[in-house]
Amino acid sequence: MFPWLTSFFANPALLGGAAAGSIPVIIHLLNKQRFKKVLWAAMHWLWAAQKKASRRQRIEQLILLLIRILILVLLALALARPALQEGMGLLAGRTSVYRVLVLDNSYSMGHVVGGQPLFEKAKDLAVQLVDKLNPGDEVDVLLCNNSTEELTPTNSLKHEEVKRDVKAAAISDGSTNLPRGIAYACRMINDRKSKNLRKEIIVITDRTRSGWEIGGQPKKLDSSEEEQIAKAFEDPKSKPKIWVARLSGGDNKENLVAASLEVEEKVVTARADTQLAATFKNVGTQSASKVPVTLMVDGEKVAREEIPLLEPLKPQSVVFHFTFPEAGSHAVSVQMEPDLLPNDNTAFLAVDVEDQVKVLCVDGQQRVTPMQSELDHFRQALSPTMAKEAGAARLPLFPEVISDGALPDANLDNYRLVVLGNVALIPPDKIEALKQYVARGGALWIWLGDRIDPAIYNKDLAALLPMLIGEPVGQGDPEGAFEKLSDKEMDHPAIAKFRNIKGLPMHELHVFRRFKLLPRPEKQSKEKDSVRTVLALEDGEPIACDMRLGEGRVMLVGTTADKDWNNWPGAVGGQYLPLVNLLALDLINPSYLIRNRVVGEAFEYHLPRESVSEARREGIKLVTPSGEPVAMDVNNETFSAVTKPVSKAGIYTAELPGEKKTVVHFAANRNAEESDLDTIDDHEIKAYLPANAGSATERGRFFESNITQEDLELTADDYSSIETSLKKHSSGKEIWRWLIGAVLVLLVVESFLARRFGDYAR
Amino acid sequence: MVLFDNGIKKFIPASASPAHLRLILHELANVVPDQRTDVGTIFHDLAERIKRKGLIVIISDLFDDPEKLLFGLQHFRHKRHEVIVFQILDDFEMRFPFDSMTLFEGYEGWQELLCDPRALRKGYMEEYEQFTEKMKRGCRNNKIDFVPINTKNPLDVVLSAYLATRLNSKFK
Repeated sequence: MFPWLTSFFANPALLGGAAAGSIPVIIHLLNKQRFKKVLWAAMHWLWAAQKKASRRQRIEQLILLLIRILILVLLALALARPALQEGMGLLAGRTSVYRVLVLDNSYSMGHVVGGQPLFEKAKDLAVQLVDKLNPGDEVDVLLCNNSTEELTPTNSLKHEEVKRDVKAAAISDGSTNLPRGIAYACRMINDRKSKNLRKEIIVITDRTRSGWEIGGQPKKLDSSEEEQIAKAFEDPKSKPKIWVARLSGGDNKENLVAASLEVEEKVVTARADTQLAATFKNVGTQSASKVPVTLMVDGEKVAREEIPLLEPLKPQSVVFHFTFPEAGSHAVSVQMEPDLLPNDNTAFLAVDVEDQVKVLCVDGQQRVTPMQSELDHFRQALSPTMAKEAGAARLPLFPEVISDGALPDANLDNYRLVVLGNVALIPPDKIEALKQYVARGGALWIWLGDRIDPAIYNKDLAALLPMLIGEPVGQGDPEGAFEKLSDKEMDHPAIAKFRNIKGLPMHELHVFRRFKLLPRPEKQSKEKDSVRTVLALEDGEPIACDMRLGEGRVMLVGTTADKDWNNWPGAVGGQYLPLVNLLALDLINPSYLIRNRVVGEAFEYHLPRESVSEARREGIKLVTPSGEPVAMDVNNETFSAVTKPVSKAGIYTAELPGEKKTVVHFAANRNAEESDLDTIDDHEIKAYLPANAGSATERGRFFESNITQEDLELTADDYSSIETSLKKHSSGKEIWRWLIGAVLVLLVVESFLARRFGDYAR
Repeated sequence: MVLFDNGIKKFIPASASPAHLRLILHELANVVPDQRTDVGTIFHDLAERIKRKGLIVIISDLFDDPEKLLFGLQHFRHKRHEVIVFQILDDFEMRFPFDSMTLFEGYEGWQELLCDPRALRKGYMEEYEQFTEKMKRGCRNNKIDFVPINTKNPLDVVLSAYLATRLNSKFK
């Protein structure tokens, strides 16, 4: 009814209790109406007493009446929890504050405005907001990028230490998620349980859209973050207020970005031409011409190109050709010249260059006669005997063939790809080893054939098969009926590359006999969801499929690797060699890929089994781009070394334990979304919040909880504006304790005076 | 025996006959409290009327000005009478124990008073004690026995106690 009352009283409804102050007056008046009559002889003494006491009695009665009224009025005021406001002169006051500063340190805050990055301005603002706090006020500072971290976890009352830490805070290379930062601040409020009445969340950020939106939709939170917000806002009286101070980046929004750097072929070999593809973007509004870009390998400039015209919203790829002279881990980067947002002008790549990629071919039907064994054609396709003499391009795969009887003794970790060709039986311990091998990033290729019992495979290798093996189809007669591969079903990435090779139609590849491939029985699983058709027959039935399993992949082909059940090795067009190589290279998961991450993710490195104990003993130190060493956690169950999520973009380096002192590189790139300096208006942000609790928004919302437009205030970016806004919502210094104290004192005084005035005398 | 209020209402001369006692008891049984008392003036009047030296026993609440009362009593003593004053008071009149709003309606023409008696108790008791003290002192100076009697106490007990005290003092 009277909204202004909420500025002065926490429980304005209880002010009605002040009417209780009239109770003593009413009692007094009622007493005058209700009396008993007494016939009294000693009237002369009574009148004499009345005459003597009349004036004093009235004053005493008045004093008692006023005290009683005051007690009840003060009690009602205390229950209404009044607060003295700032700007009330001598009575000025302010209640204690618990303030959570959410400082956006995403890399877009590195936007240089007026000669200094926005982040420096944000820090100045944060320092002022800490500086103006009163002793007893609590403050926590959160740095918000991909992840939110507490800057000063235990010093909320030590303002000087907080200021020192804010001044020392560094910009990260992460992107922002401001709703997530607000959720974290709510978690702080819930966990800290500060007794200070006022809870303030002050977000200091820039004006970029990417902090609030992704793909034109509001950034969403997970259920645990939603719970924290709901908890913080469930009590309307103690809920926090959110201020968002958005620093202006000026009118210049021009920004060029080195968006990505990749190798064309995933498996890179030494002394072979390697194509490195870099993508550049213009996220500004004006075209840029003659943009120089430089390729760096292991810290040295190795190539320079110029982009003639880089237009807004039209990414440009630049392909650098480079030959790595030696095998090993290499650090590659591509750079543009610094602009107003210099953080995003470099993209990084860590790549492993190999002399050869070893493939273990387990032949289930080895014969002495040349080209009669199950995998003879396959081995020839991977590494043609006469390639060097013919002057063919160097193929990276180096197959080693063993019989199925030798499989139990093979060390799978020495190979990047294991091929099973018509292998009838696999010992149980080797099946387990194959599972671990694939889970850790290895590639497994299974060819079927006449030695395969589908029932045994479906049972023993169930975890490794992308699809179940069904009944055989076809007679296996090269002169009889056959099925053709489809020229249409070529969506698999490896086959899509094959499609680009002209003159190699798929329909020329015939199948005389095959096992039907049937979907896995489970309703849903991560593995089943990743199953893809690699090769299909003209009727759409799959003849080859693959599946992701852990870090690695498995491919199952429903026919033979040799000519027994198909014509592939002898196809007229010579499709077999490129097909086998493309599929093998696609199946192999280069180990360096998991060492290329986005800022905010963790690095992982799979150690050779024999190195794990040594790594645990000696430890692995990762050196960050700024030269600081960080310890990696070595897990002897997964045979891997992992880091915490990284916050800086660039090349990281680790030296593995052992005599060789092998150096391994890791690369962290920035999320390119943050590079877009497009701004979001205040009303657009407000549009993602409901006007009132329970009402709908026009297009999505940040929070499922009822944070309304009133709960979040967008302010200008100067301190005085923020301070004015803070004061406007200040609830003042609470004085209910003083009022309760006054009530108690008055009760004592009333009791004393009443006795003294003879009120209670009997 | 004399019955009086603001004047002498009944005067029965002294006599030793049994009929005289019956007459006194009859009068006492039929007397009705009436107008405001003017005890001091009546004492003077009586002192002149009673010619024979004797024992004057005054039974009254003595609600009058103590100076006038004592002056009247002195007159009795001047006429060589022995005087005993029994002041008869109700227990409420001696303690004033009221604790809620009360309308006091006065006998003897006093104006009624509505008040919170708790607030007047102190003043009332001061008045009562001052009066009693004055009477005690005045009577003692004039060798008059002053005996306050609380109506809540049995009369025989009070009289026995007084007579015993009087007997003791006569033998000393």
